[in-house]
Amino acid sequence: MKKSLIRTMSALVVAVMALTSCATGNQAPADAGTTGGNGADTTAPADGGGQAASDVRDELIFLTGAFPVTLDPVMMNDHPSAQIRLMIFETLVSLNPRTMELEPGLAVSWDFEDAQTLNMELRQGVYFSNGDPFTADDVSFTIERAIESTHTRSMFEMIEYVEIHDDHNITLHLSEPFMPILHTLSTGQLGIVNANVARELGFDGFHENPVGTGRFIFDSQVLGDRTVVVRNENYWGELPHLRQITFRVIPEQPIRFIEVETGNADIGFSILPTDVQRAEETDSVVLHRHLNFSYNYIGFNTASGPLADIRVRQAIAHALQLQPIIDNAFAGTGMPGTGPLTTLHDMSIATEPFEFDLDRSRELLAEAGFPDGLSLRFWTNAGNQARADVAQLVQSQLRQVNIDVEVEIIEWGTYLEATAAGEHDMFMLGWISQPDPHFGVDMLFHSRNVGAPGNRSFTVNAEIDRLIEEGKGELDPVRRAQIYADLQNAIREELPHIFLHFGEELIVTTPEVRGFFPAPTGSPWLWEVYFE
Amino acid sequence: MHKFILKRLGMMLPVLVGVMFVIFTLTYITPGDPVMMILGDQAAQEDIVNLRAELGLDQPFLVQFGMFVANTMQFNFGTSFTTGRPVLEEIGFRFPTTMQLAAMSVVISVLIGIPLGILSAVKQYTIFDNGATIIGLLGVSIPNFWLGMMLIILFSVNLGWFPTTGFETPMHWVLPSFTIGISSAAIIMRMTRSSMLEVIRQDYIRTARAKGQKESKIIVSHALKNALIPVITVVGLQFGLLLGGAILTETIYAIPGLGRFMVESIQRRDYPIIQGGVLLLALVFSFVNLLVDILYAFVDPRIRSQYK
Repeated sequence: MKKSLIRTMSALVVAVMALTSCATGNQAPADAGTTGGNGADTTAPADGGGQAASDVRDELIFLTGAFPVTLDPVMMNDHPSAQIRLMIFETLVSLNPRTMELEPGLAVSWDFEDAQTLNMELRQGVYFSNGDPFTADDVSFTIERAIESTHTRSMFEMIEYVEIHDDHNITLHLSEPFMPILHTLSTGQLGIVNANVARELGFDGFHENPVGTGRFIFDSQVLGDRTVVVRNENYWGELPHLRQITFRVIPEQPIRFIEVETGNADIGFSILPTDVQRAEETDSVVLHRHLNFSYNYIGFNTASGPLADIRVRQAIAHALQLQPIIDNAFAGTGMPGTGPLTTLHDMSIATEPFEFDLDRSRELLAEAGFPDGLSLRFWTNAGNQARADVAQLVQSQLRQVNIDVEVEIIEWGTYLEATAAGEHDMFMLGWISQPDPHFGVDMLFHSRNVGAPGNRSFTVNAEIDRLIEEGKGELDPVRRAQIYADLQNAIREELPHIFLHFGEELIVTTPEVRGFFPAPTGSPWLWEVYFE
Repeated sequence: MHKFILKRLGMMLPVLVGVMFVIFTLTYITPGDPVMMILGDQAAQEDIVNLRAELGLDQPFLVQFGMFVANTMQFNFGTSFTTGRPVLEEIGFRFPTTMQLAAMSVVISVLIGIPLGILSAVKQYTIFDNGATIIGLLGVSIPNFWLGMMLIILFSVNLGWFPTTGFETPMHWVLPSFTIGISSAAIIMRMTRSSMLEVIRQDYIRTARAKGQKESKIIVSHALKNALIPVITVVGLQFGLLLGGAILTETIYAIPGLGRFMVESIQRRDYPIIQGGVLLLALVFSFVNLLVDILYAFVDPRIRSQYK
């Protein structure tokens, strides 16, 4: 009996050990999921802040919310990928996050020959991290590649072709007048890739061995966990203070906060608005906040249902008080929306607000044929507490004018599909754009982008379309500003959205971190960071 | 015994084919378009159509399913829609971490649950028994994500004993394993208690006592072994639940495991990853069930004789 009991227990132990050893077997340093790049020795610190051999720390741990989908510039549209890409690749034109001004990047100067022709002089003496010199061929190849990729084609197809004059002079020929082209050239998806390497590796191979001219070099990656970049010692400009940056994935926002608070990491990206007060009160973290380009809106289905009537949309606008919604759903961070373009956009104006007036709201509903009120569905996506809170607050506020709002929280994929198909009444979404005003209005309000591309309010308004087209082709900045002012007022009149909220970057660092600026673009210039 | 194991292995095949059909159908009928997830909101219609064709998503259901089965038979699970990496590489890297987490949680739940269950049964209706019952109830009721957060605040932030996130060193393993293991420990404790109570009232135990055997020997050698059969069943089932429980725990502790990855893949509608991952988990669960059946034979000679 004793013998068989021992046998039984041994079997249990062996089974557990087998499972565990199977698990630890793949944890070896050279594991299958670790991809090495073209850098030097690169074992990422197991935990805690990296400590250099010298007294001054030069290794930084940056916490982000998700693992980058890919490091190939033309294959990504997610935030974590963009943050790392900014370290490895450079663009022709660079957007300074502090000033929001466009600065020379890999192009040292440019001039518009006309609204469809842009001459650019490229920087000389620049080398890729593998030692290849940077030339006009790399620019031409990068742009052609971006147009070829299904992921980015629609963003860059206005570039008809690149004319190469010599190794450092090119002309971009556009298919139509497109003034936001400089901002387009500053987007991460047009990070200049090494043509030789990308040609050789193709789309499938380049993301595992990305070669750019940036201040850092891709070093290694542990799937689902971290990406390490190391300083490019042969960088053409001023070398970064940091020798190594580790981008670690911590999906939960409160845990990112805790990791910085306890000193296990240096920078925690995007904390919860509800943690702001705690961050301000504690000495162990420094809170960095800055308005960003995120615009949160309540959308109406202007094509069908009761909301197709402008008076119903106006009635809702008159019945809502935005500040209490922002105080509750966003813990007071950011600011109430003042129009379709955030205050950071060039040429944004504060449109005339809809006065809170319940009598006027009831009047408008009666005029629209709903004297006794009506029922509407408000959709939002699962997994976003702020949006769920907004939905409930809107529900409660609209009850005062007899609008019965039924809140439905829907899984993200289903939500995108259903709102693209126009099955909704009201919905909530956000839009993150770039400084040029074109990017804040084209996808959301142009009739050619109805449905999945972004115009989920199904706005079809000839005046809005005309102003968007005029705005993107206007060379004169004064006339252009007037066009965008008219456009913002026209959108306000059409009222496809309640301009709810302009967001804010909320980032925590340890007190030792210096030189950090919370870039409104969501991708901070980490090469400016150093330790005290 | 060998015959039995081979027979059981053979029976796993139809189970896996069934799993393949169910998971493929579910992913097919679930709303949400993977192409939109990949290309994002700003994609042009032309690109959407092209990519859909590229991924084979424009084919009829039966054609897609047929291709899926044929490829799976050749161990070709395809590449991830979003990252472009082979499914086997993506899953293969994360799977061992999740298995390790689940295995350690089982060990913890067994080490806590069985001794507490035995003591509860032996000391029935005492303060210890009532206390263990309350702890058990709490263990089952506390949600994983809440317990995980509380353990982090207490042991990582306030006491500084364990690291908050990651899975690199044994110190990293402690909190996540406990987070998952505690609820299972409570279930195993309750099962061990009731099973032991049933056994220690039987005649042969009374006979053993009458023969003057030591109480500890009676409990361990005579009672526990007979009480173990239902406990083993529960432990086996718990293993499957622990694999599921890993999803939340991996998110809280930022562990790059399969559970978290599966949730991310479902959100992105990354069909090859979802299908490959579910198939792998079904295979693991089938193996654990087989292991449970084999353990029955080790524990109970009557069952062993049936296997011959």
